[in-house]
Amino acid sequence: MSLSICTGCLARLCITQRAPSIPSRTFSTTNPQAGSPTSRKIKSTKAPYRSSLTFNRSRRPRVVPKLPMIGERKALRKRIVISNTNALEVQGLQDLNVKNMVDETQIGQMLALNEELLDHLRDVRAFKPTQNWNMFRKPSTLMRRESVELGRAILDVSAGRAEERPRTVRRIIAGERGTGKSLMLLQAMSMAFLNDWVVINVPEGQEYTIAHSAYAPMSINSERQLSPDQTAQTASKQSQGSQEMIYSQPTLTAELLQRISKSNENVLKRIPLAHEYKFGDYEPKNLYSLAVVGVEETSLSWKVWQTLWEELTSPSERRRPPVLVAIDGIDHWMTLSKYRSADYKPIHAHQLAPIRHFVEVLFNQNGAGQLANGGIVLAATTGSNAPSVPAFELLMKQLDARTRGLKMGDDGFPMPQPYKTVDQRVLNLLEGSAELNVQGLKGLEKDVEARGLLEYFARSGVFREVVSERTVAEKWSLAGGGVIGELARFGSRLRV
Amino acid sequence: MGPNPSSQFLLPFQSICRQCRQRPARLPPASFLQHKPRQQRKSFSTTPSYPDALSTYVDAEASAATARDSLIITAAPPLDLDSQFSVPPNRPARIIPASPSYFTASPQFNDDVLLLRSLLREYESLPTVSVDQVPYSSWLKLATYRSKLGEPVSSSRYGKVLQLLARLNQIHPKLQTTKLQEVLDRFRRPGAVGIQKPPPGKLDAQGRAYGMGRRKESSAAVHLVEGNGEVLVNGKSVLQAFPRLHDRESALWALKVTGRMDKYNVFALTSGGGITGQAESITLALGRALIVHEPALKPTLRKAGCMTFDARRVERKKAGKLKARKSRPWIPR
Repeated sequence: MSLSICTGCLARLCITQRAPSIPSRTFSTTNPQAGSPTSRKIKSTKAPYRSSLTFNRSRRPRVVPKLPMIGERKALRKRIVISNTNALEVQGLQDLNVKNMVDETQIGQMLALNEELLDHLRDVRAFKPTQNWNMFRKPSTLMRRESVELGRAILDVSAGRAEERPRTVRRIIAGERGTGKSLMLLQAMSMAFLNDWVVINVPEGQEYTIAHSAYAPMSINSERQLSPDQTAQTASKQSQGSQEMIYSQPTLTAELLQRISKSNENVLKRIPLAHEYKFGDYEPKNLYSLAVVGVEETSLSWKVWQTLWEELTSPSERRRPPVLVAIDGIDHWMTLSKYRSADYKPIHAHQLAPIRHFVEVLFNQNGAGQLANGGIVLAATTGSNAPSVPAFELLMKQLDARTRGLKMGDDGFPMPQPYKTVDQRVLNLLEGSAELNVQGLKGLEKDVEARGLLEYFARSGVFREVVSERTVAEKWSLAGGGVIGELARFGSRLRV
Repeated sequence: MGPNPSSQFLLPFQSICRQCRQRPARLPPASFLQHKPRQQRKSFSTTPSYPDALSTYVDAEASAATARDSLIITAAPPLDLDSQFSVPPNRPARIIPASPSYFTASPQFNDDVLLLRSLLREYESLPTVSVDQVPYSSWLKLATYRSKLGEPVSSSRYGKVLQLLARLNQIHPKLQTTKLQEVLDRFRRPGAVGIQKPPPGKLDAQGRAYGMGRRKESSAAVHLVEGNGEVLVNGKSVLQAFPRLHDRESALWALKVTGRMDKYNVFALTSGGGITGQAESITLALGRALIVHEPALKPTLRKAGCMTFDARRVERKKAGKLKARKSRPWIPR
């Protein structure tokens, strides 16, 4: 008799009794007792009467993701962290001070900003969110040849003030994206704070033109804010073409005054007023309390600002400190703003009172740029967010040509194309701005400055390569000839 | 699974197993399970196989001695031409073709393949030269080869032939036998010697080296001079031309891998295609310009991928397809 089973199956037959298999459970971190069986509803498998038997997607509860609070994402985007405790501490890092800011041997070295200076710079909004401060233990800046030269200018103006021959330096810092224009302004502000100057900073020129804050018309002669009736009258006058309308920006001016009062508190408190002023109930005693009036009463801010500027820049018997005016993103001030007039026509940026004021100071129009106590007016163009303004581009070329010694009418002096309309307001700024020059920022020097920067990155632990002649040369070339913003990118991320 | 001794008794052949519902396979005979060395196939050779020379000589001597002992010369028996069964002694019972590939569709091509394989088997152990020192050779084009043979040859199969030829050509030139060279010459394109290879580049009067490269739809021309590491692409700084670091690195890769970044200034003009294509066309152009200055860098640059032309292009869209290969989704009717 033969069994009806094949060899393979016979071989696999197990004669001994196998232990019953224990049902094993896969590993899980969830509590198996999470829901008690009694509380659980027993779902009937039967469909309810007259209900749809198909799977209806729209009946399912819609999952709405929880959105972050209003302003939270912007706050995160604009957050500025200026130190990182995870970064290595760089040994032997010097602080920036009055002596080494003009020392040529410091070129290519990083100099740290001390605590007191940091508070001032924070208050004046000198830091930008894109500047990688959060990669390093202590915020420090690279001393370039241009920085030392700027330091000299600051000392020079300070010395001129002491010797009763005030000097005003006017300069536009231009350069492609990432060349360190804003950082040059930051260095200028640090040096000015160290020398007890009054620092006035406009951190972002675009804020004044994008129509995100309040504005009100005022007449050009009085430059006072008008009542609604007067506004209507002046508006009709303007439509006849008799006079140009000027608009004040009270909120932005109040913010400007707040930055000035907070960051220059110690200096301003020491300076009593040359004249007596009364703003409503306020009777300020010194420059600080004057600025605070404008902060507290936004409607008075423009008048307070005018008074403060007058006090700071007019000749007086008492000693007043020199002033540093730093403006970033000047390109946005050379074209139409996003504000609209009563006729719903775009307002030119030069019709906005704060912009008009700073542009007149920078280009020394109508004698507005004469600083009786000396000072520096610095403006930087923007590289990453530059609007296309042909008139300003032409003006920059003309200024550049003038810096090279050419005069209007010379061969090679850039002129507007004859059959194109160019914004004459902008081109007219050339006259009177004799002292203004353009400083073109380029990449770092390879052997000293770029090397110094990369060594600092390496010592902070963010640049994980040997800093040799070869690596420096390589990074210098890859960063488009030592453009500092691009060099800093090698330190801002880990490349495996 | 070893053979079960009782397996013969379990299940009559052809009946079905209850467990697995399958017909059991018949066990192979025991002799089959023993290991037998695989017989070596005789290699194919075009040369007629002669008996071994030494053994022939020995046999000849021995036979001469026996001949001397019994020197009886007898005539051959007369041919029986009348008999219908008489067959000439050297004629086989059926005609065997000379070539083993006689019965294939393309016998001449198969002969060539077998010939090249046997040559390779024969000379496989000979030392070879590195790829960049192989003597340049241009082989017959597929169309020429087809018309020469008069047989259908697919391009993929001819590709295999070209691979064999390239491998045989890689054998050190001093060790190549005349037989091998004769065979290789049969596959060489006539008159192509010395035409294909471009002359090595020269520096011009200003000390500039020129190189050009292409990638995707872009082409680039690079002028390379000794300098300090400045780079201009289409008159702009490399940062403006390639905002992405990866593109900048790939454009300057030749200088980076050789550590020559601060030794040369690059002036590149590039057009066509996109940004990545332009950057990678500069890679090739820069590599070619660099070997004009320093020919010894060629092996390094080849390994770094700066010498190899990338001929890939976008695949064309086909009719009936949404893209080159994407088909429409199947819709139930």
